[in-house]
Amino acid sequence: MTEPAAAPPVIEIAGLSKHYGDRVAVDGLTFSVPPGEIVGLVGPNGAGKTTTLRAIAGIHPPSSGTIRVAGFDVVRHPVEARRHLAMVPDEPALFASLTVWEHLEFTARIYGVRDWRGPAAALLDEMELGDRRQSLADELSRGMRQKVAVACALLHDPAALLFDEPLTGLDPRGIRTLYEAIRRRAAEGAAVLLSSHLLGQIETLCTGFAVMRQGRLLFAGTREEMRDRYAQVGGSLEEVFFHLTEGAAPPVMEAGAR
Amino acid sequence: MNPGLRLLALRLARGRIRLIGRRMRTVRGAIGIGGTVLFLLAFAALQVWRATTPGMRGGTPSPETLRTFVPALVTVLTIIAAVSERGLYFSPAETGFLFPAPVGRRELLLYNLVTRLGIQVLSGLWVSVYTVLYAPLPAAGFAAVMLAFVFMYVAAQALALGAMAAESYLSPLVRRLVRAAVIAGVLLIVASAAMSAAPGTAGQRFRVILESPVVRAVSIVARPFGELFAATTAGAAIGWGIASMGLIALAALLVLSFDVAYTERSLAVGQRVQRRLSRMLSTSGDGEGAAAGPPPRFRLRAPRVALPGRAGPLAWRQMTELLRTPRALVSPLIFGAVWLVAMFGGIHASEGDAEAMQTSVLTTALLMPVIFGNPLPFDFRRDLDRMAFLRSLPLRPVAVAVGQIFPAAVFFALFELLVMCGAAALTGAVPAGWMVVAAALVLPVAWCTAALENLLFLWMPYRVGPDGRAGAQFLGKALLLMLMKVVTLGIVGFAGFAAWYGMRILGAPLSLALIAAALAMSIPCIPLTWWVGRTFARFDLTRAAAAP
Repeated sequence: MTEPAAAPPVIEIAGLSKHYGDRVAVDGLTFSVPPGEIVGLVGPNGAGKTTTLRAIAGIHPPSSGTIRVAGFDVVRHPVEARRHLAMVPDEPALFASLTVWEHLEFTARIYGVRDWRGPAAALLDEMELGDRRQSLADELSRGMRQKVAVACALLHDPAALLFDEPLTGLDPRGIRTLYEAIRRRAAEGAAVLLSSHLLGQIETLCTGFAVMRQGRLLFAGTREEMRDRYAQVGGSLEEVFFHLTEGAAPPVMEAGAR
Repeated sequence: MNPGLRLLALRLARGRIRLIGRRMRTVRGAIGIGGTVLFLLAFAALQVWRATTPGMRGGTPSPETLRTFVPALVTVLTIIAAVSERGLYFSPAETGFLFPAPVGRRELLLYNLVTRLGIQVLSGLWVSVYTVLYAPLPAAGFAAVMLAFVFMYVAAQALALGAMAAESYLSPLVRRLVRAAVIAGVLLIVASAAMSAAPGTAGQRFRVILESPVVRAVSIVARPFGELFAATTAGAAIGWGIASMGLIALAALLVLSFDVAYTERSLAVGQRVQRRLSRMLSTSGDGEGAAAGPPPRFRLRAPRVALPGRAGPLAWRQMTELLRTPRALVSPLIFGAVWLVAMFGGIHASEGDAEAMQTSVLTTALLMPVIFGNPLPFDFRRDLDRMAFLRSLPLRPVAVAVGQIFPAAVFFALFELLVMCGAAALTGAVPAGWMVVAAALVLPVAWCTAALENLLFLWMPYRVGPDGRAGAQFLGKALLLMLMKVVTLGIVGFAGFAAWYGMRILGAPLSLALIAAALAMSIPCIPLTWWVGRTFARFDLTRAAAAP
């Protein structure tokens, strides 16, 4: 995750901690995602990935630390921060009684997107849902619902895109479509943060990685940094993942990693 | 309201009508929805006929009784609603789309209140059909019921948000102490109300309890609804109607004014509601389980049970889940306490109030399941999304039915016995003979109740949400269930009575007659359970897919 001087990070997390009573879900997380980067947030179950994504989206208030999206603090200025982000949850829950088109219609209204019909139609075509715009959510397969959720998320051209397990339920063609959509938005300047357990799948997509375990950040850096740093264990994401996450206690973030 | 949220609310309302229209195109949907509508219209017409036909209306309670009863009921229902959820409910779709959206906290709260009013209005309409006959002015009674239903939802949200706001300032230890104090206070109120009750008929006792200073003090906030219901002049009705609306507005202002980060709690509430309603096998995120609360320090474990057809492990799983879900016990316990006070308050064994005692014991054993339903549905209703798994087990369908019904029936029987024990403590002593009679009756009755509820669920596994989806089907289903219960438990009760009477005629001792009655009542449980198993075997698995 390089940080060019001319491009301040879209997502900035500093010292983020989240506690539920005595239980620590996220512990002192610090990293950032600049525009144009696609960062894979990986970790075993219970690592704190979903909590982190939801904290960035302003759903889980942090116990301590700060989160900024497009320069706005998500706690102090939640509406402004959310205006610049979109989140696709792991389970694509749609409104059962609304059509695909109606989902895009109210999303456009909520985010204040004017002249939304053209971009919405283009998004549906991009997601291969052009012929399903009048279908009710109840009538769609899981993969199709996932694509509708993605289309809604992209409609307002967010600066920060958060995906929680976006590949679940998608067929190979759907995965390729989603990859292309994500790459296109990143190329246009969006910062993308996605969590996934499919390490082999996201390794080629992401430009950087953040590895978590038990709420703590073990590594954060670009793909090249990861390969250089962990060349001795093979350097692939899967090998680095097992190297970092196996063992009794999570190690502190290794020197040099951000 | 945010224009996007307003559009969503309108589209959702239109979408629901569209969904009902689509469901009406199927035979099952047409019968279910059409039958419900016809039943409601017929019932409403009957009520109107009773109201307008001389001599059919019957006597109305005194205004003083209404002024006492209505506020007390509104208060109790509001508190139950606030305690049972402890947070605002948002559907998964609302959580996914609206929580990360650039929408203000108050706008989202307002959207929640507005979109939930529909189901409150429908509920109010239904209840008013029953209750409007008891109001001196039918129009005032109707308005009181409708406004009370709106108030109950808004006030429950205000209470829940207020509690959340208070919790954010308190340490975990103080929170625990406050919770203990609140529970102790509720118990004190119930106990003092019971103590203040005097001997007499059930109605008289209930009235005395409601008129006790404690109950009056607690329910004073809801007084305008009682006054509106009991209004005898148009002027009084208008005045108290305005006061009622002011109260709703005040509660709504409270909801909007609490500066609480409710999204996290709402997520937990939403998950809990979804689990309860549809038992979705969702893969919750890392923080979700934690968001629902810290893990318990110890976990209860149900004893293993041996049931025919190797159904024991299924029953053990449900019982263990129940024991590890203490929240599921809150509503039954509150209802049990209310039932106890209503049925047994004022009965004193030492004063020889035997007839009232017998009536109350039998009512508890036989009518409680009909009125209340099974409060602990740890059976097929929790397993809608596990139907494929259950079908894959190497068990006969009837064995699966036994394993699923057993925990619900046993726990409900225990619950009823607990109420009986409470009655014994409250009244001084319930005669041992009546306790034995009740104990013998409760298990077959509880088994029949659980079996019927599961049977209907397997026939019509509609998902019902607080957002009102499938509300019409739910109402129809509830009516059908009530009818089935009355007929079946009538047959069961008749079988028991016939066996009892027959044995007594033959000169058998009381104990033997009682055993015969219990056995006779158990016999209908066998075909009923077999029927549940058969229905489970024919269950259409494509309908068990998790709701989006």
